[in-house]
Amino acid sequence: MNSMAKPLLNIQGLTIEFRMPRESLIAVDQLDLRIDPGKTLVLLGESGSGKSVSALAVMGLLPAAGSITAGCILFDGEDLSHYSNAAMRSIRGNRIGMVFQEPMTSLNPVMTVGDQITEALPQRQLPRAAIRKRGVELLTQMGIPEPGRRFDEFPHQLSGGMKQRVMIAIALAGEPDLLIADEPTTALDVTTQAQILELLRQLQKDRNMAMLLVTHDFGIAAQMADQVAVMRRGAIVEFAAAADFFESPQHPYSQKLFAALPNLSKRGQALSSSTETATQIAELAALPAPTTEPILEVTGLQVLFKQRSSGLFRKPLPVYAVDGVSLSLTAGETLAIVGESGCGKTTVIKSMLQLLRADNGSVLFDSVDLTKLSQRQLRPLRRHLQIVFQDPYSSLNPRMRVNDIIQEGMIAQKIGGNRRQRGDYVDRLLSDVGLEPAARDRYPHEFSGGQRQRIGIARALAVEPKVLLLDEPTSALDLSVQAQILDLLGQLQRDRGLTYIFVTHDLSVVEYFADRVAVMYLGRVVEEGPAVELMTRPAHPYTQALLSSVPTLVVGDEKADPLPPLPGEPPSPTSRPSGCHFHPRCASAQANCRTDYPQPLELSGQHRVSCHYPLWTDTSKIKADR
Amino acid sequence: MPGQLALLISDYLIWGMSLASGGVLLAGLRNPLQRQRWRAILSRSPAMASAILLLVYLAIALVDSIHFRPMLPATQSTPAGTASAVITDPGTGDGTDLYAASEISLLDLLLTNIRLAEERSYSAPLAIYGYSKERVETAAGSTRSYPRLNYAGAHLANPQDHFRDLLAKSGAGFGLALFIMIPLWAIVARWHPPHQASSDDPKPAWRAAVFTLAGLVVIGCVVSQLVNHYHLLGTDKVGQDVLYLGLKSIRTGVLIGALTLMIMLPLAIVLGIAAGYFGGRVDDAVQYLYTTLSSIPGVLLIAAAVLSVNLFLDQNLTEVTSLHQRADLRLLLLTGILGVTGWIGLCRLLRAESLKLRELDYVTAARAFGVADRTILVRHLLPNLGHLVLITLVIDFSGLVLAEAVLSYVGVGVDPSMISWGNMINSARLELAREPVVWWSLATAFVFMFTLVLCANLFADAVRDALDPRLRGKQ
Repeated sequence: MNSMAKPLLNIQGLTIEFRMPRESLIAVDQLDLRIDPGKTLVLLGESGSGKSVSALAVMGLLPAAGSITAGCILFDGEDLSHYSNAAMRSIRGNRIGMVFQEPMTSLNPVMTVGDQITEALPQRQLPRAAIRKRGVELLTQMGIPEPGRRFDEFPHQLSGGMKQRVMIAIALAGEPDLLIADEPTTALDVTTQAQILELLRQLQKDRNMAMLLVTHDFGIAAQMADQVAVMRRGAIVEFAAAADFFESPQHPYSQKLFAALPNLSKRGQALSSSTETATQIAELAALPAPTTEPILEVTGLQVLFKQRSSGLFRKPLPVYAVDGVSLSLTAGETLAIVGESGCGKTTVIKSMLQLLRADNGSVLFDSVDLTKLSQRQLRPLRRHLQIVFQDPYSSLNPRMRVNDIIQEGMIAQKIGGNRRQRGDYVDRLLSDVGLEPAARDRYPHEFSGGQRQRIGIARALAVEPKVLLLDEPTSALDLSVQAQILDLLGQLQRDRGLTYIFVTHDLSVVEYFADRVAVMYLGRVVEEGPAVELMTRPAHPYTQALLSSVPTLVVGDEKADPLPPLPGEPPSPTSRPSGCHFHPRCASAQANCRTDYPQPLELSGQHRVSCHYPLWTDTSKIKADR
Repeated sequence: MPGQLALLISDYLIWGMSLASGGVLLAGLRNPLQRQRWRAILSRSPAMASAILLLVYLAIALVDSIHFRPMLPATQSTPAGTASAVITDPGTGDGTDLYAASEISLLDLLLTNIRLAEERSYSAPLAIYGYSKERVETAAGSTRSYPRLNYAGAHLANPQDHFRDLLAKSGAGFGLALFIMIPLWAIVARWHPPHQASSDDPKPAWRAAVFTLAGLVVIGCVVSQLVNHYHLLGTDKVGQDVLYLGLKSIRTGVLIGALTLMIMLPLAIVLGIAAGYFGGRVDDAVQYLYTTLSSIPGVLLIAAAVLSVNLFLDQNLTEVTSLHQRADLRLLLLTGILGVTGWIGLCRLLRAESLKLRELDYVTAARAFGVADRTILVRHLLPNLGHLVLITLVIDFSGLVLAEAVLSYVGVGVDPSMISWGNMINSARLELAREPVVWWSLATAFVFMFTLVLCANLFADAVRDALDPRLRGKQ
């Protein structure tokens, strides 16, 4: 293709300001961008960098407070920045389509899928049958099974991935030349994300459509981009061809972000430059390996949720949120629990903490079965198990000072001495987690997300726990903040000999951080083993599919794609498939997979897998087991 | 003290309540987040103006809630007619100090002039003649004509001076207002509002405050000049000054609104939070209770309760001496009944919010620390429900003031002897049927009530805008 071709979209010196009560805030500052026909530009940046605002400006959908104060948006030679709302209407949908982040709220819940698609069709004057045919055709192109039936369904009857496909169908109904996708997969699970990305790639190839993809994920950028633009504080800091960018990023900010990416090869190194030097870490990493005595042992844990009964006299159906999970944890190690949303990973840690009472099984801490204790007996033991939450905004009471937040546990556990001593300890904790002692008299809203997460960690550490349960502690944070928090957690573990249970769906964090990994699917652990071995040589087909769904940093064309994305949607615990729960999506499923749940199989030492046909075994063992 | 203090039960309640909520408010202001929110509320001009007017209403109600028995002039020989209305103070024992049997309030004392300035019957606002013809004895015999009033315009030797005198008195009022305001203005102009913590914080609407106060001063001065010589808002059927009735009604309205809220608040908070936080059986029970209550027509329930309570009072409380005390008891019972039926809306709201809050991570964290449920409720749930409670309170307040008027009109409201807007409107029913129409009672009740309700509503709007997270950031 001719590289001198006229760009489809050419943004020059775009400046967007937001009027605030007192001053105006420059959200986008002198932005220059160009997208050639049929190419993909990925706009990469952390939250608040102005990438979404730029995308909205192209669509003429800026919020009321925002306005374009300088620059132009040349689309096919015409400047959209001066278009009226009415004039924009001829562009939106027909020339430029848009897909939003949240498929749950982007569809109108009281309209059928079909009505919402046909609403966007340019040929609305056609007879009903023809319109319907066109709509079903679009759904078929989006890879939606049974498009005829789905056409008449309502959004709540579709899964998240399916909704996003419908959103894409709506965006493409007018056959636009440019598709703007604003974090189109951020709200989706990793296997669904892989499907959607594959679909977008396919559609783009078929229609020779240009795409502006807004994301914060380097993997997605590498998979999708022809060109990459890195945004920071409203300005482009680097604009390069994808291959060059991932080969050698030029701007220091891009380099810093690359350094902050966790992965297998960086185990034991600091991610953020702000903390200790690499040599210190190397020394510390050489410390003796953790002891092998188990500190926490979970056996056959089962948690049921009672569903609302379907009839007046019918018994409510139990939903197995967690079904027979067994884990054991040695002091000082990090166990990661990995799985897609709804697999029961958060339920497992809540029932370990006895915040949810297990219906079956035991949780042994220091040889005491916590599930058998009353609330009163539990209270003194609670200090040993503490939790750090995902959302730094809902995890701190907005009406309490940091000092009171951190002291809450100490007061409840009656430790830490008198008021003065507790106050001194709070100061020490704050400096341990990298905050100023002055922070103690402030309220949570005065802190950023990363700082709040540090306060949450300090709160948990205040009662000097032995085991810290981390419930997706970094998934709400930006990449560079995630790096700082991971470094902090690593350092605290070395300093205090903490044991971590790290619940996450982010496999790159697992690779970097965990000693052992348990992969969960529909309330059961399907594979468990040492992190490095499990990540490099998965034995369960699901683990393998998860790993291959993660977008790697290898740029699209060069990647030898070994596996197609995992088909189907993660089923919900209310309708678990019989036998091995994974069999409907499994490529190597046989007849017995549909009827029997596979017993855990010991592979090598600590590595166990629940599969009738694991991807690898010690050949000597496999014969013995069959 | 010009008499013996004789506080009614409702006096204790309204004073206690005002002091307590003032204290809570001041304590809350120590939290910068709270302070910022109040500043956000008061940064809106309508909110500032209505807050000031509400405070004026509250002040009048509070002044009207200090009751005492006035001392009767000891030297005066007891008039035969009032002998039975006199009791001796047991404290002094020797019987030299005599006190009236019925309580008057501090407000009555301040308004003595217009309280005692009674005419024979209706008179129009600012009139000097009666509203209906009467037989007047003159030197030439008796004729039917409009009689001169006893009080209004009594200082006018020549009735033709009436209009000129009104102008002069109003002018004097304006002059007085200017006389007061000019030094005040000088102070305000020199005074700078205290520096804000940060420039992002909204600044209170001082301009609106100044204009509201100026308006109040002008009205107050003009009124004070006129009331000593005229009935500013006319007189009612028995010749009582209507302005006095309107002012006295403020206490009734504020009491009904505030006391009812105080009764419904604990019910709604305790039941709502318990239902939301504990769930299960507790939730079922609370839901059952409020679904049942809300399926009974409210007015019927109130009417039935008021009527049966009145019957009970008539039969059993004959020993309650003063008319005031009796009326006061009935008022308290009415607030009780309104409170018991009025907590449902807030309770529902709080239940739903607690359901949400109990799933929040900071509550989970507290449970993981082994913090007791009681402490979680007080420390984590209650403070985070504060904005909902405040919003509902202010909205409900105006509803209750209106409810009093409706109930009194229907005849199941406050005691007929108690001065209230509802009773004024009720009596206006007959006045409106007269020819020519007597409109000023109704108009006065309407204006006083309208101002209170409008202020409460405007203030509620501002509170909701500032505190409701769903509305925040939409401006």
